[in-house]
Amino acid sequence: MIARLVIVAAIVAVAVVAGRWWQSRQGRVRAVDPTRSDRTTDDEPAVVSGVVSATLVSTPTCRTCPQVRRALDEVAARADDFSWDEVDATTDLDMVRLHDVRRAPTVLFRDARGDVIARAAGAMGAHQVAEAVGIDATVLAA
Amino acid sequence: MTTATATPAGRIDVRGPRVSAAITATVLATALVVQGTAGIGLVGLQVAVFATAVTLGVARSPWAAVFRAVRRAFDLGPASATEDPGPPRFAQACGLVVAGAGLVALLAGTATLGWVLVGIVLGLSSLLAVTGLCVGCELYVLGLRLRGGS
Repeated sequence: MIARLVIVAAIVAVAVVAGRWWQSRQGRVRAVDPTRSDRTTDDEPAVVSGVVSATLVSTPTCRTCPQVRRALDEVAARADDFSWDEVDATTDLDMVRLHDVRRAPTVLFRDARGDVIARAAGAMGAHQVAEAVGIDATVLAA
Repeated sequence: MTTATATPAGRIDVRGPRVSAAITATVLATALVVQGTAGIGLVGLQVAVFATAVTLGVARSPWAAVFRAVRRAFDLGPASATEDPGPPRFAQACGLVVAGAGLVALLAGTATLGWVLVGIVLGLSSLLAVTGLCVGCELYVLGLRLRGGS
């Protein structure tokens, strides 16, 4: 009985730790390898500069997309030179394949030429977007 | 204003699946600890709950009904956010397949295999309950992409 209790506790603990680790990686902005638009460079990017727009890849059923939409709106409202658009992954499969989008929401950050120079997947807040866009996060509402 | 009408039609309160997952995890954890006939009975109960959610929709799952009763009783207020019931329903289908296979294994006498499968469902449901991360829902999005022929 004790052994079973320990096993049950271990299963729950492993699941929760794995989940927390996965969540900590949400919305992390990573620089895109310039030679391969579908690949990111090392986990921690060098400073990504020159982001002027973003594309949110969403799906109609995506749970965290509204949160990312709000984050993008908030940054766009405070950064004059930043705009964003949205594509539906379920109808724009070419886009999904071109950029190897595996999850919704995915945000593709573009430079002035429209090239994707950084990307992030999963739920993200305005501060993470602001960091990618290079505006001072302290101007955002808490 | 009643909480019952606060959720837009066709969408569900995001707290529902998490509470359901917590009940699921409790049932399966108890089953794993007691095992024997009672344990197998609890696995059967959970398989029946999964089957109800898959066939009738997650909002009609018995555990969703428990959540709504708790929400009324403790006046938890309207949903802070709502979601499409498609991904959670798919997640319940994943639970049904794995827990159902576990139940079959237990009834067939292959106890170790059966409890391992139950343990997998326990892990995934406690993950959803505690962190809000729904692995089945993530798979649903991946599935949409695969269906698109990628």
